[in-house]
Amino acid sequence: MTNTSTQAWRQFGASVRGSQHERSGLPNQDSWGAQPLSGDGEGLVIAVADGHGSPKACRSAEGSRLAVQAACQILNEFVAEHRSAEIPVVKAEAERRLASRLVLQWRALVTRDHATNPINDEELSRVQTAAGESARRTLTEVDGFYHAYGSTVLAAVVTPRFVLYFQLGDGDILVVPRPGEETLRPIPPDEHLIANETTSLCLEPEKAIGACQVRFHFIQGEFPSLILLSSDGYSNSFTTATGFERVATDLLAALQSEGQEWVERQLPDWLAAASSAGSGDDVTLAVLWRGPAAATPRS
Amino acid sequence: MANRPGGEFASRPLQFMFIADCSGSMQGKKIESVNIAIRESIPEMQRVGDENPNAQVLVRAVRFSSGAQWHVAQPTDVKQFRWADLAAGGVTDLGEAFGLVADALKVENMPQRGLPPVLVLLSDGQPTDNWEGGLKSLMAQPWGQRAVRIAIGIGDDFEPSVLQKFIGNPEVQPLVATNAPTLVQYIRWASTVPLKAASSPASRTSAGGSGQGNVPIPIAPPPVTSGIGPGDVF
Repeated sequence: MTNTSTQAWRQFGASVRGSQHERSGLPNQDSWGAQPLSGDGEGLVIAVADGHGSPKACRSAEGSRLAVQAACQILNEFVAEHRSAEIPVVKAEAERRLASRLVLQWRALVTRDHATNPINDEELSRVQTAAGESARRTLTEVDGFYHAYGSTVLAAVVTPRFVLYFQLGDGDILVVPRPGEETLRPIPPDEHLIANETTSLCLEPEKAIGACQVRFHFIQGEFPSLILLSSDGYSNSFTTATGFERVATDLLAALQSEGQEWVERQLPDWLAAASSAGSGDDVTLAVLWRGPAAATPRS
Repeated sequence: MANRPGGEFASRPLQFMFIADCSGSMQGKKIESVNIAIRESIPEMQRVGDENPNAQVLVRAVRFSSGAQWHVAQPTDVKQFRWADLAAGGVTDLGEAFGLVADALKVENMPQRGLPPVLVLLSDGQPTDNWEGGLKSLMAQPWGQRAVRIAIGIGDDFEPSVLQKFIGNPEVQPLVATNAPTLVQYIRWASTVPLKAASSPASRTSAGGSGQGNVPIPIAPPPVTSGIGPGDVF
């Protein structure tokens, strides 16, 4: 299938609770979401977020949900604000301002959530039992509650003129430029993020903003055929990086031969198999791809 | 299941290392207790491995006295791990032991998707070499900084500040074993509880390279005080 005007952006995704969380009784701490762009013009934004799941991050399931909400909102607003701007201006603004807008919007959403439902003594007691006094103390300090909601966030927005990629923390963004071509990574993995350490939305704003990565791809001709976002529970399940990167090309081949509905039906089982045989972590995947234009993209 | 995308799956490697003092002062009851404790801990470590199947626990051991050597050189799956007794004699070249561990934890020798390593140091005395240089090389490794580091001081003559510097976290103290039952208890605890904590897939925000480590470890039990025979006291 070629990348033609008879195609449109399609999206789908899935998130499964990790096998380790099933054993320990913890909920899925990942989230994902997608939105069509507001206003005229074709486009979509997708986001994946991975709540930390550590004892101190006792509300990170909610934190990841708010991260997806913030990412979709801010990216949608950004595209709308720059609909008529010249490409170099859009790129410069994205690189200069997107990180701070997204981080601060997440903090605003968390502040609002915490204001209506402050961390209570029972939660603090569980944190202390599981992670010690210093973890409990952190949550009770001024602005410490953000750590309870700690999460990463990955996002991509596709418009008629450009594609934007955004990442804070672990997880992966894969792109297949054209069918049959090798998988690319618009944002290379951060080699400092090892041994389950990650940067996070819950860091002090300056540190969180400084840890964000934004990549801008000006579309001249063809759109990429497939964009994939996944939480690190997925990549950590594969023996090799190459084996993981093959997911993107294999998925595109399956979408083209079997169709999206078939792939969507298999996806939860595929992700669950990865968690069970691999990382044990929650596994979340969201995909944008150039599919037949006849179907209406779902939000 | 329909052919799924991508390559092979595998659980995540977790390196567990004993770093054992085999100096002359460890002769007798101390080294005997270390050997008994480690051997008796293996079924418990295997149980932790079974309960956390997404972590592949790989065990190694360093011994140090006059110099340092690998006692178990190859990372050995805990399911196949067997313990050969240590013998004691010589001085206390802790720095050389740290150097061996530092080499093993170099980025090029570690799997990128690995879980935080667990290092358990057992020592009864004062180091006799440049231990600070060795510790510096260990903590210069990103995997060394992020390792869970537990220290057990044996008897009364060890230097607490050395063990504390190895742990690198002011909120975690060295465990002190002044008798054989306590040493056995602490080795059993150190072989299982930190292992279970490090096996978790939960993420943590960076400790900023401070070396304090980031894996919350439950508090160890108190020392054994009852049923201690005269021959059990170090």
